[in-house]
This record gives sequence, structure tokens and C-alpha cells, in this order.
Amino acid sequence: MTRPTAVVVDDATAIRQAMPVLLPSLEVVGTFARVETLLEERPSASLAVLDLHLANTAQPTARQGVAAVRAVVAAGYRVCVYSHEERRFVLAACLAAGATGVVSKAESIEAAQTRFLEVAEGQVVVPQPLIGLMEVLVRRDRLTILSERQREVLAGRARGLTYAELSRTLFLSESTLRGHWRDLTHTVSRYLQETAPADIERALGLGEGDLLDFWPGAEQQDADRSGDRSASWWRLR
Amino acid sequence: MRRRPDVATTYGWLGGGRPPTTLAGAESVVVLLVVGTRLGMLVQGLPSIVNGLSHSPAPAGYAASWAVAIVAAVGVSVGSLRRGRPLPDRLQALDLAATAALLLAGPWVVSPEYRIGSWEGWQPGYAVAVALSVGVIASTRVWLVGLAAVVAAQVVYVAGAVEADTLTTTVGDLLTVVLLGLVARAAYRYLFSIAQEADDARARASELARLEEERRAQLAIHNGAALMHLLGDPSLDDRARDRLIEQARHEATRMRAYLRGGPATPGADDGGRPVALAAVVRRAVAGFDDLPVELALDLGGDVAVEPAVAEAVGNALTSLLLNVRRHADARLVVVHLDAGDEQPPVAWELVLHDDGRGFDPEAVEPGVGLREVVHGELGRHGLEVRLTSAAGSGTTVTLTGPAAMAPDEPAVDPAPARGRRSRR
Repeated sequence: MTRPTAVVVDDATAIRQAMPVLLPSLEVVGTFARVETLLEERPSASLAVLDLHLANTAQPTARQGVAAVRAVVAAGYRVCVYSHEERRFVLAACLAAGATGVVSKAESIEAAQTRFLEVAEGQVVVPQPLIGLMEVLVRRDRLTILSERQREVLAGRARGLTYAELSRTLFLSESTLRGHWRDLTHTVSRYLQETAPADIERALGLGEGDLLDFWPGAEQQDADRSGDRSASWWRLR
Repeated sequence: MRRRPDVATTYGWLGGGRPPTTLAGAESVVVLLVVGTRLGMLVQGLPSIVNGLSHSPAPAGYAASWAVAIVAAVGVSVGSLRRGRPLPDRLQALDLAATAALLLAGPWVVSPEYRIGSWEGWQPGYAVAVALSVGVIASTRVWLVGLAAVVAAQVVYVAGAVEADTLTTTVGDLLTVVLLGLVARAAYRYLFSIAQEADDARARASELARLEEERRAQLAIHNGAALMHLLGDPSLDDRARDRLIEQARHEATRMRAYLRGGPATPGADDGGRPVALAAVVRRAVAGFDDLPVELALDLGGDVAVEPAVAEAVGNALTSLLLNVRRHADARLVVVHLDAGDEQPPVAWELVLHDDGRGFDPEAVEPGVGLREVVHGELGRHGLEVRLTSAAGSGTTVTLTGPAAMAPDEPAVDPAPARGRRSRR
């Protein structure tokens, strides 16, 4: 059986060298310290595993954060963010920028590999903090196109319930539940990509402009104003 | 076996006040009634002794009969007074036997014209006093047989003396013995049963108070004991140990508050203002950042609860998280608060889910934490607790309850959460 191909973008040398060994279910066809190098070489791969924090003393101007996600997505890669980042608005911004999945580096390597494979297959992988955020958007009627079943699945997942537990309470098979989840995550992903940050701010009860530091699009406005492109490549605060 | 009380203790209430509403108090009152009845009969009959002796066909026997009656009455009185309660059944039976014997000896020592309606023939009056006093016999069978023997002996006593004009008096005397005996016994038993129930109620109240104190002590020290247990684990890393020490300080404060007799959580009764439940949850979770906890409190951000409920929920959440830390080996713990869509919120649901080992709730006896701190204490505040778990499938605890009335002033934050790794 053919393994999905993947590229890894991470500023940590140890991670770049370890990933091909630690992810035997993926065929790692290239590892890169910065996005710019990936975009120059553009190897063919079904998945790009992308760290968010790429600037360091050796490469202080490296593109990173939401801007890096947008650039890699624009290059045609299916992106799975792989980061220590835990701020849920930053993670939501990654999905809004086109990432298909977000995986925490705190996950076990086995769990991370499973998530990477799901993303490679086209599934939207959402970490637990974002599931809670999704539930808020649905409950505050910002996402009205979900079915009743999808809402029930979302409510259960937001409470941490597994498919097995949901299966017992909703009397549906796990595969059916996974189908509902797949559909609703795609819907949410599209919503995040298509909705203006101001609307999301209102839905979440945030102040006006609170999301601008994180959200895709905001960094270009900053750059235009300041004229300093490097200063606004990323805004992770 | 009941310890014999001293006389001063038993009758101390005679110096003022009223008898205690205990079984011992009721028995002391009955003893005084018995003594009054028995000695009162002697006082009534003794003035007729001289006349009775002079008209007796057997003066020596008459005098001997009186002597037996006096000894019996005084003996019963003194014995009962000294005991502080009625004499044992065997002595009461002996008293009844002596009474029957005195009645049977009556025809020999009292001439027929004095046997009915006079104190020279004192035996029927004596029988009435005895019938009143033996109502305290514990054994119904002994009492019934003894009273029947006395009535039968009284029939023998009057048999040779009754005439047409004394028949009604004779029947009346016999009925008096029977009816007063019955009434006295019923009254004594009722009095004793009330007193016994009062004693039982006091004992129950005392036991309930003891159990309540035990429960309060368990609530106050359970989480602290669990923390000490965890602190004794040599494999703890420095970060987890620091967190445990911080929590232990907080629990020590709670224990001191309990020992002082105040609320277990200092400040819990401060002003009685509703408390923001999300803040209570954050505070409880703040000490567990060595666990992979994800907080999802957005949907319950507006809900407030009464201070006592907030304290109970905080303690329960701490206890549950201690269990997760000790037993679950979880990779993800989700704490989810939802106050529904109504504004202002009328109810809330708090879910704690871990994806750890889980357990079979039917097979595992709940510990003090789950039994008292979670189910017991939350139940006492009207909150519902549901626990679902299965071996290998994690554990879900769902708490539900009503929101506090919308306050005029904003709900208070019980205490700022301590520094916590940023997850938001």
C-alpha cells in the first residue's frame, strides 16, 4: 500500500531529522527549515506538516505563523499545523488561513501520526480547544447550516466524549458519527475562511479588533501601513 | 443492664422544675405514684386498726395481716424509691401473692358485718392500692394472672358476707380493682412508650449530629488527605510537586477554618452574593496544570450560583480532579460548562470528562471523595450528579443545578485563579 507523501517545515533540526523515522506511515519527501525554501523547491506531497514558529536567530526573517500557512496553502499543499501553540484564536486563524488540520506537539507521536494521515486524506482535524470555540459559534447562531445530528455530535465532542461514548448515547454507529463530524468540520472550516473577523468577534463576545492580531488578512493591512513587510509577516503575540 | 442511679439524681427535679421527659424520668414519676398509693392506703386504714382488732374473731391473725400489709406496702415503696424505678416482676408477683393471701385470710380475721364497706375490713381497699401499683409489671402474663388471683381471692373474701343490700357495693369493689388495674397499666405503659420514644429520638438526633460532624470532617480533610498521599509519591516531578504544595496550602487553610468552626472555605459566606461559576471552576482547575485539562467555559460565562453551592462545586471538582490525577492516567481532561440559551441563565451543566482508564462503577466501591464530597455534598445542595464510566473508556461526571437569581450586583469572583499555563 502506498504511503502518503509529506513535507515537514520546522526550524528545529532535531524534529526535521526525526520526523521521517518517527512517522513510518508517511513518506517524508522533504524537510525544510523555512517556508521560503519549500516554496522554491515545491516537491510534490499530499501533506505539509508545518510548524508555526519558524523565526529564530539563524533565520530571523523567516515567514511564520498565519502568513506561513497561507503561503503554503496557496502553493497547493494540504497543510497540517504542528505546533506548541495553544491560543485557540491563533489556532482558529490557522484554519481560517486554509490549514486542513491542527495538531499539538504535546500529542503522543502515535496520535500525531494518526492525525497527519487523516489530514492527508482530506479530513479536517480540529484540536479540542477549537471544538469548544466551534460549539460557541453554533450555539450563538453563527453557524446555522448544521443539522440537528451534527449539533449533537459537536456538543458531545466539545465535552470531550469519544465516538464510542457518543455512540451509546445517540444510538448511532461510530462510522456514522465520524461522517457527521467530517461534514461539520468542513462546514466550520469554510465558515472560518469565508467570514470576516469582525463577525466572529461579535459571535464570541470579543471586542472590536481583538482578532486582527491573529486573523489572516490583518497582517497585510499592517504591512501596507508600516511599509515594513518583515514586521507583519506574523502576529502571534 | 441499667446502672442504678442515685436517689438525688433520680428525684432531683422535686427541688424545682419538672421531671425529665426521659424513660428514667417517667419511671421516677410512676414510682412516686405507687408510693403515694400504697402508703396512702395505710394512712387511710390504720385509724381503724383498734376497732378492727376489737371486733375481729381472730385478733392475732388480724394484727398479723396488718403487719404483712404494712411490710409489703413499705417494702414496695422503699424498694421502688431506692431503685428509682418499679420493682422487678418477681417481687411484684410476690406482692400480688401476698395480697391474695391477705384476702383469703380475711374471712378468718374479719367478721362478716365488717368485710364490706368499712375500713375495719381493709383488705378490699388494700387490693385496690395494689392493683394500681402493679400496673408497672413488665410481663402482661404475670400482671394478668396476679390481678385475676387477687380478684378471685376478693370474691372468696366477700362470699360469706354479701347480702342483698351490699351486693352492689361488693360488685363495685370488684370492678374497681379490675378497672383501676386496667386503667393504671394502660396509663403507665403509654407514659413509658412516650418516654422511650423521646429517648430514641434523642439518641437518633445525637447519632445524626455525630454523623453530620463526621461528614463535615470528611469534607474538610478529604482533599487534604488525598494531596498528602500524592505528595508522598517519590516519582513526582518538581512542577507537579510545586502545584501540590500550593494546593496543600489552600486545603490547610480550609482545615483550619473547619477547626475554628467557620465555613470550610474562607470567604464562602462573604456577603452571600452569587458567585460566578466559571470563576469557581477556573480556581479549582488552576491547581491541576500538571494535568492535560482543556477548559470550555464560554457557554457558562454568565451563570452564577449561591456561595454555598459554589463552595460545594469547587470542592467536588477538586476531589474529582484529584481522582483523575491519581487513577486516570488521562491524555485529555475536558471541563465544560454550559448554562443553556436562556438569559439570564436558569440552570447549568458542568461536565468533567477524562479519556483515562475508567472503571466499572458497579464493581468499585466509591471512596469518601466520590461518596461524600461529590454525591453527598452536592446532593445536599440540590444538585444532580451523574457518573458514567467503563474500564478503558474514560470517565464522565456531569453536575447539573439551578442558577442563582440574577443579582443586582455582578457575581463575585471567589478568588483570582493562580497562575496557569496559557491554554486560551
